[in-house]
Amino acid sequence: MARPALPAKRPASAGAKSSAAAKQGKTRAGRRRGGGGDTLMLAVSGGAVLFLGIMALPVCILLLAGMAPTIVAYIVDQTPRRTLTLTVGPLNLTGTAPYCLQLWFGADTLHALGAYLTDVYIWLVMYLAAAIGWLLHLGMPLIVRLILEQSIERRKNKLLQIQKRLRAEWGDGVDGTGDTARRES
Amino acid sequence: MAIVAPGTSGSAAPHPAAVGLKDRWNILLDMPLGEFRSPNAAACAAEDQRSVGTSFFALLVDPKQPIRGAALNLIRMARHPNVLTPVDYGPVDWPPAQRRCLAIIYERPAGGRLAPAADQAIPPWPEQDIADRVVIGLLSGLRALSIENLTHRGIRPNNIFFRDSGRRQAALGDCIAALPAAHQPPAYEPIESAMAMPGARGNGTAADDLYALGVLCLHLSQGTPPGHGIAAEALLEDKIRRGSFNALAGSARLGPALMELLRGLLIDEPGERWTFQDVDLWLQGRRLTPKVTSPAPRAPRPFEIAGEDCFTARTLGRCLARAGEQGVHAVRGHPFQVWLQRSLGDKSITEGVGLALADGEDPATSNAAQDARLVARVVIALDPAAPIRYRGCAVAIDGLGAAFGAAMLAGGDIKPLAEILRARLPQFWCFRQPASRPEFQALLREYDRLRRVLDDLRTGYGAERVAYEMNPGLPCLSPLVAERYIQAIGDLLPALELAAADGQIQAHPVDRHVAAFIANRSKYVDEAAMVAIGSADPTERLLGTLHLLAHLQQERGPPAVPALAQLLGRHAQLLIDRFRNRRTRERLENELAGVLAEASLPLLLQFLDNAQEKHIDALLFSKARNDFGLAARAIDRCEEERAYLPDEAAQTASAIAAGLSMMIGVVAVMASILALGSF
Repeated sequence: MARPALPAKRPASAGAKSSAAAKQGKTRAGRRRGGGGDTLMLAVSGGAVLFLGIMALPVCILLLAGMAPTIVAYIVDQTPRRTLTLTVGPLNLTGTAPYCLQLWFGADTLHALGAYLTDVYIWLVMYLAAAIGWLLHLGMPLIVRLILEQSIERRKNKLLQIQKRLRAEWGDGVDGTGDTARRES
Repeated sequence: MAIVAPGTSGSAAPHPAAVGLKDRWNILLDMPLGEFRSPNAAACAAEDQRSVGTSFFALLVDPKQPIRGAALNLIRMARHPNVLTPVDYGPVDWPPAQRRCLAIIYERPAGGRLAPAADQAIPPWPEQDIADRVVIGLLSGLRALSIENLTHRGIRPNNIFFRDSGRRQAALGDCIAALPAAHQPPAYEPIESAMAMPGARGNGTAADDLYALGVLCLHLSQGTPPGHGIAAEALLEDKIRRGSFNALAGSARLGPALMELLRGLLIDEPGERWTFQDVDLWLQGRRLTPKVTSPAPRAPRPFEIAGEDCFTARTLGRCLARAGEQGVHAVRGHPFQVWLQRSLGDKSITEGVGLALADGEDPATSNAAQDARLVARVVIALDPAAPIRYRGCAVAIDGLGAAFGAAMLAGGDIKPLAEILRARLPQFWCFRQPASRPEFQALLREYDRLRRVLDDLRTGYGAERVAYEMNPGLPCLSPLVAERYIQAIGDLLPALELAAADGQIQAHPVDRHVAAFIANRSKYVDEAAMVAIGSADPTERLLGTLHLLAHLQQERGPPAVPALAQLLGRHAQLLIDRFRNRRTRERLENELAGVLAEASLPLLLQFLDNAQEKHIDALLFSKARNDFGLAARAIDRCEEERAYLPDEAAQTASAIAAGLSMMIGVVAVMASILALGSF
């Protein structure tokens, strides 16, 4: 059976180009729109770090060292919503926060900081948590795409079943193209 | 096929001794009666099962010869002692020819024929005997026919019978078993009628019968047949040149009384010829002087055509008719016009020829046909009283139908006759008559209608339909039923059923002849069915056939036609396949055998062409088609979604990942704070 003609699709390259251009435009616009927000956030973050450095220098150093993957993510993340930063950051913080809190509530000295910074296990925990964030960000699209594809496939199969049933019941003419062939036969 | 007497059949197969007609008559095939046979019919003795005492005989008409079907019932009604009127009639089996033919039952005249043959010399009759034994009786018979607006057109010695054994009461013989005047000797026909072909002389008028009566009287008085030994054409020329009386009785010795009668009856001008009243007066002894007719205008110098010198319009018309379309150069030439105007000097003829030449060309026809048409019109204009002459055919104005039917029946060439209709020659003939008669208007309308029917090439129309329209007694000529001699519409379906049962019908039982026969003889004609029968689409054709035959069965019976039902049922799949729904088709296929067993075509039609079921099927099919289209569009949308899936998946996944990460982060930080707080 020949299916009714599909609506004309946009050429793939043209679509891709226009999609990329739209995305770039959106990014620039986001930057322009979020430029003030980013600056404010950087200023607040900088102020908080300065304040923390004055109040508790060891905690501040540990926090900066532990959250280095998030800083990198923030730098490389070009998406308008900063989803990579938002994914890596919380998990990175999950790995860093316990040690910062221990330092804060324990002996908050540079000596203690040295003990923490020389402990490989602590580095492993902090960076592994950040790595999980990276993996989540990279792996989630594959999972979602798989799920959506399954959903579309199920829907299409159901529609094809309906068409098959109609054709069995009414013959080839039901698709609107079989009339001529039927008359000729 | 010439009909043969049973005893002379060459077939070795044994035949039954008698055949029945309408559960009343026994026609005794082993008792042929040669003395009553007519040119187209064998005669056999017949028995009436309801009464005894009266002798009958049956004329078994050659089915290949046309009859006067329109006059059959009228003559039967006009019972008269001086006319041999049919007592009964109908088709019967005719074993020698292994087919059916028309049988006409007559009361047997005790005195036999007047003479065994028309061209045979007989002992001369005294004038008084002619008047008392022949003229009185025949005149009475002719008058009775005239009251019914009928003519006999078969008055000749071998077709006059005597009712009584003393041979004193003459009666007119059979005039049904052959076309009007078809077997008349040339001498017995007036000039105009003799010019026409024997099968195309038409019913004519009572004047034609009186002319023949005059020739019969001459024959009886002289003993020798008038014009005996003279070729028909030469006799006709002589009649034209000298007048009928002089040509036939010029040298005869006649008494003054009989001469007066013959002069009155043999006047060539029909309007001047003696009428019934004149003959009655003559019989009563009053002597009348026949009017002297003025001769046709004669030109002082001849017009030469094809080597013949023509002095009168009639002779010129005859020469032109013989020349056919070759004469077109002569009639278009200047000398012809000059001769008409200066030599002949008949204004009416000159005007008629002018009209014939002015409107004689029909651009729709070929050059040869145009020439023939032009010549025919000029011939009519030259001699309006003569028959229509076209390409070797000569037909009286009321003889065209009979000629058409006869040609169709004999399988002959109907093309010239059809061309006469198409060329509107009958209409021109009517227009050129010097005196308009009331029947001309009806003839004009009828010929216009027949021309339209002839030009309509659809099944149920055309030449076949024209043949049936013009010949009410013509049997159905379809090869499927021709042997069964079907004259009445009610007999058609049983005949088709028998043909189907015998395996003579392999495909469609309705051909052009059957369709035209039904269209002519049935009161109700389904035009749509006729159109469908002519369709090239086998389904349409089958449906049209089924509609037509179902209607026929419903109207005329018989109640069951199993062979026809099976025949049409074999093609029923074509009609079942029109239904779109598979389950409906399966149901119809399963139930078809049961419906065919009923042997009813109306039931079969209702089963295969049920309007309500077709409507529901169409509605549901439309809905299914709509559903199919919706599903197809939904599938297309799925494909479109699949094309944009990577982008969609990436956006959704980023959001999910960020949300999940933040949730874990909050929970973990809270847990850490709680854990430290507990220490």
